[in-house]
Amino acid sequence: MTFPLFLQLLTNGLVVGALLAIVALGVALIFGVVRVVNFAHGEFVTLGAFATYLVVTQLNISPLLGIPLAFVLGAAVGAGIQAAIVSRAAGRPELDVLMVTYALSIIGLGIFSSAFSGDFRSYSEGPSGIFTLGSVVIGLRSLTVLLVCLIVGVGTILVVQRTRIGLALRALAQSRDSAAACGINVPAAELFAFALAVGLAAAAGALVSLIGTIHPRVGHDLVLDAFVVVVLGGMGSIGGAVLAAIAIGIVNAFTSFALDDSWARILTYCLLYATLLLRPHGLLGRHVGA
Amino acid sequence: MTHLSRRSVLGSAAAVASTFAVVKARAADPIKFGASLSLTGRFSDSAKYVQEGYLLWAEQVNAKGGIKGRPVEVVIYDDESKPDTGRVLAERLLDRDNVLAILGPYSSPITDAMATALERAQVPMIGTIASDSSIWARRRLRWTFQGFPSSDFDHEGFLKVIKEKGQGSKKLAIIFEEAPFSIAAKDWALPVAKEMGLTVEAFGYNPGAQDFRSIIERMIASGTEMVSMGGYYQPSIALTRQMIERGFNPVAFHFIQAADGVTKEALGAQVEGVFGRSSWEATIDTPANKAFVAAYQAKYGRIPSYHSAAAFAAGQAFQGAIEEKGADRAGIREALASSKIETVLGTFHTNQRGQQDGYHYASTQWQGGTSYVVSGPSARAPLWPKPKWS
Repeated sequence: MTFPLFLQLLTNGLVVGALLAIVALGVALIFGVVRVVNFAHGEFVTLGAFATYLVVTQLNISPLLGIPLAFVLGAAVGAGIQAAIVSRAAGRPELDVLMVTYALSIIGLGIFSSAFSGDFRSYSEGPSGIFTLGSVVIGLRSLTVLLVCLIVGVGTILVVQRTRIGLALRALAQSRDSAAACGINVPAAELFAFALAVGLAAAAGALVSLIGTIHPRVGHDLVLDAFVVVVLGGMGSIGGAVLAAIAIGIVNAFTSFALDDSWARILTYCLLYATLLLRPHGLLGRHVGA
Repeated sequence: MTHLSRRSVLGSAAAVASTFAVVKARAADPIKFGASLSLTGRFSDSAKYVQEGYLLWAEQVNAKGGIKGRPVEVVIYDDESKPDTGRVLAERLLDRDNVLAILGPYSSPITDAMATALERAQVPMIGTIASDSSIWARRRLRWTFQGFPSSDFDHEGFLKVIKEKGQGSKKLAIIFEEAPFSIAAKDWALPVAKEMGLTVEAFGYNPGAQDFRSIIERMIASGTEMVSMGGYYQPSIALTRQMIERGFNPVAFHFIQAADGVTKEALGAQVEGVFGRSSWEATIDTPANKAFVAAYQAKYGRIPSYHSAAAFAAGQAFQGAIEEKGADRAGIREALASSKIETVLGTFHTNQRGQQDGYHYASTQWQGGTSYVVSGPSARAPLWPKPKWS
C-alpha cells in the first residue's frame, strides 16, 4: 500500500468515524447520566435528517443552517420527551425503562413512515466540490461533516469537563444519590443531558442528510453501530465513545479496502467480542467492583 | 380481520365501481380477475399507478366487446403494502370472489407471498411489478409468471451501450448488493462482459451500506474506466456522491435506478450523462405504445408511469392467453408458459421457470436534465464519455 493511499483511507475512515462519534456521544451521555439505554436514539437522528431535508427543500435554506436548526429542534424534543416520558419511568425496573425507549423507537419509526412514506429522499443543495491536500482528496460535504463533528464533539466534551452543569453531569454519572445529597438538581441535570444528547443525534441526522439519503430507518441503521461503539468505549464514557468510533471508522476503511465490506463488519464484531472478554468495562470505562 | 375487510372494501370501492360502470349493461357472465394492491402503506404512491393501468385495460377491453364476447371485471383489495395481507387476500379473491386469475400486486415481496397460496390453489398470476427473478429461482412455481423485465438483465442495456460506444474503454467494475436479485444480475453480466473483451471486477457490499469509499479506492487503484452499479436507489446515490466527492470520474457510469426522476433532485447538475435502465418509456415509438399513452392521458390527464404500463401489459398478456386457450385456468397457464404475446412492454415470453425473458430494459441516459432512451430504434445517441463531474 502506498503512503498516499494510506492517507486517503485514513481520511475516509475519519469521516465515517467522526459521524459515528457524534451519535455515540449522545448514547453514552444518556446512559452515563440518566442510566437509560436509549433505543429511540436512532429516531432522533432520523428527525434531524428529515428536518434538514424539509428546511432545504421547502424553505430553500442552506443545509449548513439546517445543522444548528436540527440541533435546537432535537434538544427541544429531547427535553420534552425526558420531562414527559422518560423521567416518569425513573425508578422503575430497568426492563420497564428499556421498553419505554423501545416503544418510543417504534412510534418514531411509524410516524416517519406515515409522514414521509418509505421513499428515499435527498437534495443537491449545499457545499459541492472537492478539497485536495497533497494527494488526499476529500469532498467539501465530507469535509463539512468532519469539521462540524470536530466542533460539536470538542464543544460537548468542554461542556462536560469545564462547566458547572458538566460537573453536575459527571457527579450524577458517578453516583446519583451522592450528587443529590450534594445539592445537585438531579431532574434538571438529567433533562439537560437528555436534551443535549438528542440535539447531538439530530445534528448528526442533518449531517447524514448532507452526504447520504434520507428515509425513515436512516437513524435506526446508524444507531446499531453506535451501540457497538459505546460498549467498546466503555458504557457511559464519553471519551471512550469518541475513541472507539474513530477506531471503528478507520478499521472499517482499511478492512473494506483490503478485504471487503462483509469482513469489515465481521472484524468490528470480533473487536467487540474481544473487548467484552478482555476489558468488560470497555476501553475507557471504569471498572465497577461487585 | 374485520378492520382489514373494511379498509379493503373502502380501498377498492372506487376501482371496482369504475369497472362495474363499464360492464353494467352486459355483465351476464364476466371474466373476473383479482388483484391485491398496496393502496395504503409504503408502496401506495406507486401502487395507485398499477391500479390505474388495470382499470384502463379493463375499460378498453370492455369497450371493444370484452374477451371472446365476455366482459372483464377486476376486483381489487388493499394489502396495505404487507406481504402477509397479500397472501390472505389471494385466498379471499379465490374463495369469496371466485376470480379466474390474479393480476399481480405491487413489489416482489408481496408477489412472492401470494405465489405460495396460488400455487396450492393452481391459479395463474402474472407478477406485474416483480423484477426480482430469484422468486422463481428459489422454488419451482408453475402458476406464477414474471410480468416485468427480469432483474437478471439489470446490466444488459449498459453493456449494449459499451459495445456500441465504448471502444477503447476496457475496464469495467460491477458493484452489487449481497442480495439475490443483485447477485443474479452480476452473475449474468460477468460472462457477457468478458465475452465482449472487457476486464471486469465485481465489488459486493452489504445491504444497508452507506459507505462506498473503500470500493471507490479499489476502483481507482485498479484503473476502472466504467462503473455499473446494480443495487437499490439509496446506496446508488451514496456511491455516486462519494465518487463525485473523491473526484473519481469514470468514462461512463450506470446505476439501475438512475432513470427515476428523483435522481435529478438528488444529484442536481451532476446527473448529466449518468446511464440508467428503464422497463418502459412513454416515448417508445410503436403504434400500440402510442395508443396506450394517448388513452391513459385522456383518462387520467398525465403521462403514464412504467407501473401503469406494466399493469396494462399484464392485462394484455392474460387477454392473449385467454384468446388463445380460452377462459380456463390450465389453458391460461399453458399459454403464459409457452406463448409469445405482444404487449405495450414488448413481447411477453417466459422461460421454463416462469421468469420473464421476452421483456428487456432499455438503456437510458440523463441529457440536459431529461432522462432519454439511448438504446433501440427510436433512441437518442448516448453521450460518451460522460461529462466530467466538477
